[in-house]
Amino acid sequence: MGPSVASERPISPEALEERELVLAAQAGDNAAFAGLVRRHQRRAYAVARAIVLSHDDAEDAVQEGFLHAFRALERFRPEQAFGAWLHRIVANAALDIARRRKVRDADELPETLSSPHRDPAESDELRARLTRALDTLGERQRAVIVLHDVEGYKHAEIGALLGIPEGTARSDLHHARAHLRRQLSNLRSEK
Amino acid sequence: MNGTRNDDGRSPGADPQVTAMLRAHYAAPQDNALWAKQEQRIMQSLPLRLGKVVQELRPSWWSGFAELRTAELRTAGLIAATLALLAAGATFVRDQAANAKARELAAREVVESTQPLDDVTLTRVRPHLPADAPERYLHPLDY
Repeated sequence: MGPSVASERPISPEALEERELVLAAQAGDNAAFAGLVRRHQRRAYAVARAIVLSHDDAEDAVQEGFLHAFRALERFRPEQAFGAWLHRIVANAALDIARRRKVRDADELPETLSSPHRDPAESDELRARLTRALDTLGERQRAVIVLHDVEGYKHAEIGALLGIPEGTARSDLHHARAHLRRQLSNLRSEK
Repeated sequence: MNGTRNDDGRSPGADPQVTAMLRAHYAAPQDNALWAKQEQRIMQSLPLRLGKVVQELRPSWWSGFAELRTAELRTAGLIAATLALLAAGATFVRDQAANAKARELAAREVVESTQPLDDVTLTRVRPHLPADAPERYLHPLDY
């Protein structure tokens, strides 16, 4: 799809509304910024959660991300997609937190991929197996598979979020899928 | 970047069962109260954090210089520094020339004295004589 076609595409009411919120927030309207937070925090959380290990760290990354976005709001051009811009900022905040956590936990016991918000239907055994399987996955591969298979991002977008080439994202996804399939194969044969 | 736009975990390499497990594991909290709390937390952090930044950037006594028109000051400073450097260089060259001239005159005075020149004196003053001075090429015994 060429750029000319994209430019002719009508702007959705949601996009218009978001643009108004951005302009108002840029003008110093805190309520408008709160509207942007309300609109984007769940997706921002999902991006952060794919990168960090825990729910608490994901919440911190979202908060850091919105703070950075607030500070940089003057430089944001309203014709851009606010979500894409914000998610990159949140991803960077999450990567920072993950790096800090890695250094801090270097001498401690390895952290589990705990999440206090789980599907009640998911059994403890299943959850434990998945957690163990995810634990043995590399940090970047885990982020890539979650962003792709859970959150629906494309390879190029994942590359932009994590600061890696698109080809690396593609390759990481392949390896992560193969790894999880191997690790969870026993589980499925038992079922 | 909103919405799901890739193959939705259905590409040949994806295992639908694993994808479903991942989605359950990484599902965002559904509790609206939690999101309201998170929004409140974010909004409350903004003025506090920014206030902290402003406090950290409280001006020191030297920060008054920053309020001056720095670009013009920088240009004026560069011009002044260049002029000072040129003046110092010129003074140095002039002093060096004056010293050399004084040494040459002193040497010539010694050489042209009516007193007989000994070997030691001629050796001492010889380097200070001009390159074309005949005394440079004379032996003391010639006097």
